[in-house]
Amino acid sequence: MAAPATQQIKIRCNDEKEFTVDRDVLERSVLIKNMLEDVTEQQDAPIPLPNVSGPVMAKVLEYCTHHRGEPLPSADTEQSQDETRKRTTDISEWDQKFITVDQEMLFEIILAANYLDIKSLLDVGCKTVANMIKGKTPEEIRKLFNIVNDFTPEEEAQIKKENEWAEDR
Amino acid sequence: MPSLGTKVKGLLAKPRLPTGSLFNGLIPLVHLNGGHKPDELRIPSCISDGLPQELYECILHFLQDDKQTLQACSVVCHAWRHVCDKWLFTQPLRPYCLTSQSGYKFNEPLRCAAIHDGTKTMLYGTAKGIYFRDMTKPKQAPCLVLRKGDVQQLDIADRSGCTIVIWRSGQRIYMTPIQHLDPRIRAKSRPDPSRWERSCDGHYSLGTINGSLCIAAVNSKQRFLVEIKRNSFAGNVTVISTFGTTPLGASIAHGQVITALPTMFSSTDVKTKMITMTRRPTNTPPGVYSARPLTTAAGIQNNSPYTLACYKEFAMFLNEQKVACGQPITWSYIAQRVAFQDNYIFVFSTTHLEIRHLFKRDFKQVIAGKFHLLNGTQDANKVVLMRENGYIFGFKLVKQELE
Repeated sequence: MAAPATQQIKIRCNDEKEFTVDRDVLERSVLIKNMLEDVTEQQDAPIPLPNVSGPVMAKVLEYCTHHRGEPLPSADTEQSQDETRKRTTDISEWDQKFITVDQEMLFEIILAANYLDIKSLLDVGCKTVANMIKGKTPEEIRKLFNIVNDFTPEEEAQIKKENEWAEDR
Repeated sequence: MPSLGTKVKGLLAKPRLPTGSLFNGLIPLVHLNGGHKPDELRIPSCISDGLPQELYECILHFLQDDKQTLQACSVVCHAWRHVCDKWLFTQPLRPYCLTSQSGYKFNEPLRCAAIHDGTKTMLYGTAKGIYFRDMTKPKQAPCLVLRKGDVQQLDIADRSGCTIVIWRSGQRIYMTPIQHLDPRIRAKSRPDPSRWERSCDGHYSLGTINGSLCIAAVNSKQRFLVEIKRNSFAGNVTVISTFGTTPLGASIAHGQVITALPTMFSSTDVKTKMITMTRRPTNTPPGVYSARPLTTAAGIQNNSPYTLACYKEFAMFLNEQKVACGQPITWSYIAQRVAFQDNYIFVFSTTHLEIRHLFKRDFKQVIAGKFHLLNGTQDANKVVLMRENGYIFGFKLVKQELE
């Protein structure tokens, strides 16, 4: 018996690039899933995503397609898994390959995952950035993320002294 | 029923983020500047062309077990410092540095210190005498205000609107109103400090009995209690009791003078002169109680009916009848001195500082390093001062800061 045809949804990015995607792939995004659930009528008009560009959306869809069918975290499991989730920066092999992109694209993916509410993708992006930070000096971190040092030399020295008192856990 | 396109456009109609942000018009998973009204949302100025602060918070979450990286992150910018503090100092006590590298660093050993007026004034005791420092002028060197050799213990106490400085030099205890030591106050002559006529061995203890400020101290055969009625020691010394063995130390708690003896504790009710002796309990592991008592015995604050007797390896609670109750609290390291702040006890060993909550038995914070207790205050300043390589630190409760 043939599998039931999957509903196709159109989305339009801020560079007018349009994608037609299987509904179950798009529903990895909680934002779009909620929208689709609220609207019962079949629509031809594409969903506008004015803050996501075509190339970024292509990457996001690549991720969603690979992970289609995996259970979405419910509010309960999310809470219980939160602690374990936060304590590891391990990334699966496929995800690691997927997220090996330049820094600009990495940030765009994180922003898009945050906007589209794709928690697992947001985690992959954040873990990647966390791994980039590991072992770096404050100056290297500032340079990496273009952050301005707003400490006075005295404040910085004081914080370094106070940090020596951070407890061993 | 609205069409999907209309619905989405409707959702996007209200901008939630500032003009110019990549997020303009979008609904983020991580709510930026959580709790702020949408029109107040902003991206911190320290991050440009990068991620919003709240997303960096998500990233730093993943580093919470990597203390070294967190320490580096905490000096990146103010915004990151705030986030990293949550994981660097997860326990409720954290230090703040009273002197920093920009401030004055002593070349000679500090023996003791006390603060006054919040943290605006600090007095230091050294082998030369007492130094006065205006903490509001960090670059200004401390001023030697009293040449009275080898000051080993120093306290500042407020009493009836008058602030007095009490210190021990050798076997003698002195006191004087603080204005007599303040170099900012011009005076033609400064009166000599008042000296307690008796000698004392080891540390004295300050406390309040019936509303009066009192000092408890011991010498080789006796222990004393002196009540401070004016700003001098004149005529107010009471000998509480004498012992057959040499007392190790005395302290004041709950209107009683508690004395540490080699094998037991005694407590004397100052009003009734009733003495209670407490032997070590027999139903506890024998090894634990083989320790010699510390040269201190201390009461705990917050009107608790219990007294805490501190030994080098453990402490135990004594109830109103001065009977040991509950399990002893065993230190991780051999204690040299202890100090208190609220329900926390600071246990100083030669290599570590251990901070324990007196009632939550499993709660502790251990910090490695060579520490020297300068003063364990129990007043509203809520600080304990100590020295590490010439730096003086105070402690404050983060919980209070967050509230």
